[in-house]
Amino acid sequence: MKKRILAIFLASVMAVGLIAGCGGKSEEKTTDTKEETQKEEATGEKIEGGSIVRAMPTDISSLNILYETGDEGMTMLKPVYDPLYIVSKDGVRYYLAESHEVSDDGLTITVKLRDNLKWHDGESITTDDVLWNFEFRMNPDNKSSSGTKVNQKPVTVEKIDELTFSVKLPEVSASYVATLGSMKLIPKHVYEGEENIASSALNTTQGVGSGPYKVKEWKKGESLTLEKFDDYYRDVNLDTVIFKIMPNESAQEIAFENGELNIIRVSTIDKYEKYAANDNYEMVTLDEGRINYMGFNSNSELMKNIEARKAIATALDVPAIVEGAYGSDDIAVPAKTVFCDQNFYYEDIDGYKHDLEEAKKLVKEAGLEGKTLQLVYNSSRANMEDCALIIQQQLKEVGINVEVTGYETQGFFEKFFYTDLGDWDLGLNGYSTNGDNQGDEYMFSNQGFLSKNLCTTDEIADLWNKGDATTDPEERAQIYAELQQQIKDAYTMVPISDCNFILAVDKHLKGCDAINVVPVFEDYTQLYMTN
Amino acid sequence: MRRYIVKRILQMIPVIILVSIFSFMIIHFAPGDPINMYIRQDMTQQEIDELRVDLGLDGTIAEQYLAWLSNICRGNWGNSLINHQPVAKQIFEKLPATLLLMGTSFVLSILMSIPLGLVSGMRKNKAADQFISIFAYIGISIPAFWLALMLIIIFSLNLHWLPSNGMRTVGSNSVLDILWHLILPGIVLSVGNTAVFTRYIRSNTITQLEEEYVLTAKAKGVSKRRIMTGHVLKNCLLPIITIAGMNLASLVTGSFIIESVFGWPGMGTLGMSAINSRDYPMIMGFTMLSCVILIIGNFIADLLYGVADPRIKQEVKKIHES
Repeated sequence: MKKRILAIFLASVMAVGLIAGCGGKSEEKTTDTKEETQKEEATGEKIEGGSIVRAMPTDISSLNILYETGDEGMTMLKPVYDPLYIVSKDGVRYYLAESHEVSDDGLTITVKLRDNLKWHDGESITTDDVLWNFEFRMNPDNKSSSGTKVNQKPVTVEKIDELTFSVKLPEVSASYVATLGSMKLIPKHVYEGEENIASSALNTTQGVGSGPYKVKEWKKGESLTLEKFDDYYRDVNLDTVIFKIMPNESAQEIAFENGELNIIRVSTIDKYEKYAANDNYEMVTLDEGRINYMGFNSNSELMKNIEARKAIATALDVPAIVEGAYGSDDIAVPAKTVFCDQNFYYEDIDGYKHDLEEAKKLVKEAGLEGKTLQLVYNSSRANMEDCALIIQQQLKEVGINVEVTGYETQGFFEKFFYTDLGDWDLGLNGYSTNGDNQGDEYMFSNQGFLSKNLCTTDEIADLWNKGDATTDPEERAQIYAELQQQIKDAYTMVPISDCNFILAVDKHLKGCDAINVVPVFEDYTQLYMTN
Repeated sequence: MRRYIVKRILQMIPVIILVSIFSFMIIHFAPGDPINMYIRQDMTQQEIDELRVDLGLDGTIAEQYLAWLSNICRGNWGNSLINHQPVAKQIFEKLPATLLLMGTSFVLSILMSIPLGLVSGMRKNKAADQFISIFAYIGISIPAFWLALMLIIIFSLNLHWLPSNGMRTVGSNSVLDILWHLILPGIVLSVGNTAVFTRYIRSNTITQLEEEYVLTAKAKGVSKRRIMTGHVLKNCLLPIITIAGMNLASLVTGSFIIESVFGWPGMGTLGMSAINSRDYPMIMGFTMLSCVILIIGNFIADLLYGVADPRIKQEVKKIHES
């Protein structure tokens, strides 16, 4: 009797397992049926309206974009707040501004706003809003001073008319044009008079912006629902954009496969292959403009020696690291230099040459043989651990032992950027480098605020300064090319991978690749649904 | 009894203070500094120092702790370092969702474990007992996140019966919709507790059935059902009071993992994001709330013990009289 009951129980457990295990098959069946129906009906024509749902790992903490500096804020509030304009390597894309002009001496930028711009509450957007935004940012109490200074000296803003204003720079800064353009405004009439805007309750109750979508409902920790703003200055296709908060990546995947989400980010080769093989999805690949690299710690006794850095750079087989960690060129390609082709200026120079025998010789000469190095990496970032382990293996081949330690984001940044204890030798990090090259100065110049642990030189710092001090494109191109070479020659870091940003997208949603910029999407008006 | 209650309340104060000191030290010793979230490339060291003062992150850990303690004693939980909004307000905004989820799973666990534990104990080593025991072992050992994903795959992805995540459908505010979303996370969270409670009740039932008062009742001709419901059940539930007291804290702190898997907007997700961003006031608010609830839970459990078992009340009385 006991055995029979046990058998029945085990059989039922197996049955549940089978149901779960066969899930894929039954899904395929359902999918097939769906597909057949869709094939009959789908014509691929653009349809009016529709809505999309995206998942975000964490929620925003404010509807005021000035206090949202993380990826979530940049992504979720992007459709709500328009920038003035965006300068890219392909040209300028205008949003709230209809034009901008830089004076011959490079010290004055004149911007003209579009006519008839409206805030989401119906009030007009004018230069008074722009001036108030500068005034607001310049007040240190508001903790939001970005875009108001050039080399620590304040800019001055002048109203020319209701739609035109000029910004005077204290000194030439070629990169400031892009900084000014990306500025997002908050409405003067809403916030003026608030005693402390940083902690104002308005930040969580109102999100009066200027973009194609306005805030319809924010259920904290659950979802942010945006609806089409009827008075927007351009045509908007989708009626609704919804961001659902889903911290768990597996849950996001299930929701996407269940049709609850229209878009999902793909960062591993197995997921890429799974979704690419399914006719219900389209794969959208964008240049992330992200370089992952291995930095040498200038505060580590061993890494202070340039010969030691050279030995390690020569020992590493970067293409093999990328192949092993990412699995496919679709996800990432080997990086060669500090910039990528998403930057305004990029020279296709060769990376460090891998030579095992030469590396072994250099390791001996630099006194690294048998030494143990500490390699730290950010365990919250995809593929970093794999890179670390392959580097450990490759350095073992030349007689260097590597101890690998992963830290979660905050802990890693504290170690990598903000403390200079010299308690690690090698560190894996990554950075976004699209747009103006000067944006990377803060990491790769010894005058930058994140360069406590950087192996760099005064010559490199001078080049960064020169790069920003001229507006002549040819001169800038030359300076940044030289900078690439000098950073390479100084063995500041070993570029590892140049990543793609891949999305699996519901096949009915189009326009995701209209603008090749990450974080997606710069312009939500480009998105539309097809039948 | 009144003296006992006052004494216990007084004992709670040093415990709460000690927990707050340890918690404060631990979160400050963790690598990472919330000021990093504010530092921009164009800031000077002076601006960073001023910001540190503004955020109350200057001074030694002891000074920061005393400032926090003085605020909390005045009922001020502080403001989040990330969004500058009051900590208490944010915690109490998230509390209902967690109470609903954890409360439901707790009630489900109790409702399922009592009959299962009693049957298992009464039918010791019989087929029913073995069946329930296997269920209990699986329930105890199965990782909750795995069970959650399996249930989502079966009931949401394949069968399309239940939603896979969230607390409600976007745009809907109906109670039924919330209950609909509650089913899967509620079941997942209750499985582990049900299994543990079942084992406790089984073990107690076996012990109680061997007691002399049961033999006496049997000898008097009292029916088996009456013995179980009138005598054994009450005694079997005593340890459950303790466990319930211990679980009271989880009712308000939620489950980090399950809330994350199901995208449930409760205290777990709030705590998780506070930890990731080193939002010290929020972490302290969260930790201290769970600490106080845990202590109160244990206190209430002890009081209920006395109510449920007069022998304990008598013991306490004797101790105080002597």
